[in-house]
Amino acid sequence: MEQQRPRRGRWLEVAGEGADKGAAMYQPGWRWKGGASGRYRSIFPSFFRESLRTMIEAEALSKQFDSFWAVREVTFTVKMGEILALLGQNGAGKTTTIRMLNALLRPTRGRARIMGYDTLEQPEAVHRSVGMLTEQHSLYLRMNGYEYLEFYARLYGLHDPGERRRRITSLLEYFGLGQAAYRRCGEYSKGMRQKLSLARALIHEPPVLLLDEPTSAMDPEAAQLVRQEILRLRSRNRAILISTHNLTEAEMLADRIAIIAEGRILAAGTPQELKRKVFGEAEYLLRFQSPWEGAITLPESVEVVERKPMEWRLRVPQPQTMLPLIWRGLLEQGAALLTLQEVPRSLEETYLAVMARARERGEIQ
Amino acid sequence: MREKLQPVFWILRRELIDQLRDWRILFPLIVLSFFFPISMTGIAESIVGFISRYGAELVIQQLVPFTILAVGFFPSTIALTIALESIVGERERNTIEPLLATPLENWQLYLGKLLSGTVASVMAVLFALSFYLFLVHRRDVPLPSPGLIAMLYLISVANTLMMISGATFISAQSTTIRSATLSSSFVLLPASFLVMAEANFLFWKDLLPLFWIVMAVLLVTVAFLRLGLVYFERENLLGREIDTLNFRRYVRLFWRAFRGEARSVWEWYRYEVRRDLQQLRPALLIFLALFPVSLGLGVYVADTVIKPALETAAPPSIQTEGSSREELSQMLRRILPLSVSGSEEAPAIPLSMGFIFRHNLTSTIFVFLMGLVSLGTMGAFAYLLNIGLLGIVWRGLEWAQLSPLKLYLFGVAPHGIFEIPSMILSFATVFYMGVRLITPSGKTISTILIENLALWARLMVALIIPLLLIAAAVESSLTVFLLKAYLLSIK
Repeated sequence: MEQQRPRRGRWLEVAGEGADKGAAMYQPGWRWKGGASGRYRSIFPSFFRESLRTMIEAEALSKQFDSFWAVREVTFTVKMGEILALLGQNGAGKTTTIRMLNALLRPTRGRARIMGYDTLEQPEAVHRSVGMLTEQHSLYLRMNGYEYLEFYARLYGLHDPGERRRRITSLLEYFGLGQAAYRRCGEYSKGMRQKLSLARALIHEPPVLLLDEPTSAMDPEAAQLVRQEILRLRSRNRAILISTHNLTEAEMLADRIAIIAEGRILAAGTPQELKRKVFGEAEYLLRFQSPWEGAITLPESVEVVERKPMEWRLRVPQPQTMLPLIWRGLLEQGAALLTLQEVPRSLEETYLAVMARARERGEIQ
Repeated sequence: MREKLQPVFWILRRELIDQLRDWRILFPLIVLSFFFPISMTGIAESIVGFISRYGAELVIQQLVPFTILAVGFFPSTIALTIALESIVGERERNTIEPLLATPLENWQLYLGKLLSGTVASVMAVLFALSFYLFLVHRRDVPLPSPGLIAMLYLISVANTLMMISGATFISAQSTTIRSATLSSSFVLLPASFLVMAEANFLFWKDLLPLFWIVMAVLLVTVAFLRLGLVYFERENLLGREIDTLNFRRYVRLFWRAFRGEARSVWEWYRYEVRRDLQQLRPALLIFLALFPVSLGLGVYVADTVIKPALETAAPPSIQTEGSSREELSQMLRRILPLSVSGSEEAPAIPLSMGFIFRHNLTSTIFVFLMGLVSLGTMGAFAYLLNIGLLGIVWRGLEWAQLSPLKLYLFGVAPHGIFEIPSMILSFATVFYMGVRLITPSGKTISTILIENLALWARLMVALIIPLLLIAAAVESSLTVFLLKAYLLSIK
């Protein structure tokens, strides 16, 4: 079977040594042209396609420092094209988790795999597959931006000078640092430093990005810039894990959020799923133009949370089908309707509720 | 291999760029390798001028090599600073994590860091030495022989390499630059003592002992490099365990290692001490084999170095061929205690049991400390020196027309039966500790150090101290008696 060749890189017909089948087919610097909708879709069974898509895998990951457990039984996966945010306060175990995923720390228990490579057994393959952004900017301040990227490009094995130059230049341009390429990093602003660090993380075109507190200690403007860049990096070929204590950031960037505290994952899911888990089904506010005291028969699954002459508050399990029915029924009964909107529930409330419940259950202190 | 070494080169290159852009490194480097030789030339010139007025040509001949040694030593102190900062500096500036996240192997990272401290400093040392020699030559100050100059180059480079390898290891094991700087005395002090020892050997202007010193220094350098590689762990550089002092844990660990599984003193001797001796067997065999070798070396050094030196430098009264056995036996009797020697003069050294025991114990502890800072290697050299001295004395006795065999039989053998085994055991233990330290075992360096300490303490308490006590008792009584009897018989 002839595979469609990507512009750069090549296909691996056989999995890497010790790696999971399929996962090792994707190597840093190679473009994944097929994706889940590619040609192989028809020939691979669905469970295999699913395993292909899993790029970050943490399985009961635990880390103990002396007698202190920094991370306890953390389990999650991040699939291709997905952004997962590890949301938690300082000292929750986010950085330790990221370091274990990047084979910088050895798990005390459990295991982690990146692109199918075991972090304990194949740390070098893991390092090649991961682009990492640390909490601090980590730049060599006496080097200029170009030299800095060139140094890392060489360490990641980019030996071809033409290809190296092309990649560095395009990354500097991509992040708007072209003009500052030959200025010393010490002269860069915080935002520029973080953007250069992002460029460094991408220099070897890694399929997995681990971003540890990418906007911490940055002013709002610089943080906004970096967030935009992260959103630009979202790609169906790449899995991104962000650790943050910033709720807005998590909600803005992540497809899924895992709330972590004292080394434990307390809740995980999409922002909507998390809210539903914590507060139940979504609530909707129905407003009338004038006081209305009439009555209609509502489906059994719909719960009236609060009823006032000018507004009703309803909990609706299947809003897509239920809401039009309710709207139509009220109109038929002669109600003068003004608006129908979802009651906003912030991630902050969700987060606080999750934490409060965990404390009640004694899961955290 | 070339591909494997490429990342080492890139790390080295980056570090060099960084160093050349940092005035805090450049400034002292220039001062010590350029201005210091200039000022040293002035000093040497004025001293030579002063001394030559009094015709002390011998002093002039000795002075220049010392100044060369000093000129080579000072720039190497910069090496210490660079190497101490190389890894822990990156850690403190938070630049280490992306570096550790690259697909490099540990040895590549470590070697890159090690070389980054080496290149600039060795260049500075070589430049300073060459520049100084050039200046000295231009001022018509007499230069040492080409062989000695080459040896001084070798010594200076070897000293620098040893300091760098030690400092890089400290850097990799420290959490802050402050703690690394505080630990730098572990390198700086031995290095200073080493330079002093080298200066002493320079007096003799003999290249062979200096060559062996260079070899020993290079051996320590390699041992430090090995140690650094064994304990270079990415996790340690990011984890929290390193540098954390937990005395209670250390005491517990020490006691557990010291006591072992034994429940009584008998079991302790029977199982733990016996196991130690089994583990030490290869080291003991090496040291036993080294005994005749170093004895022979001592005789060789006496013939080739000491005898010619004494003939040319010593006043006629102490010349070897002119020394009479009567002079020597009088000297020996002066050393011996009044009661035993029968001499009316007060003894020069009080040979009491307590004195002998204290002296031997202090020597054993000194050997342990030397072994500790040099990963066992200096302990081995101290052993060679000790046994070598026996060889030198053997020859000296022959020059004094005394029978060395009889003197050794009456003056060494009675207590030597106990003292020499304890000495071999002590040296072998220190050597074994060094080997254990640089052999990967999966344990942390603090654990290995404590286990080593426990091993040394166990053998000290179980065997070495008792043997030294017996030896001191025998030496202060039987040996002195036998020696006196022998000396009186040859009067």
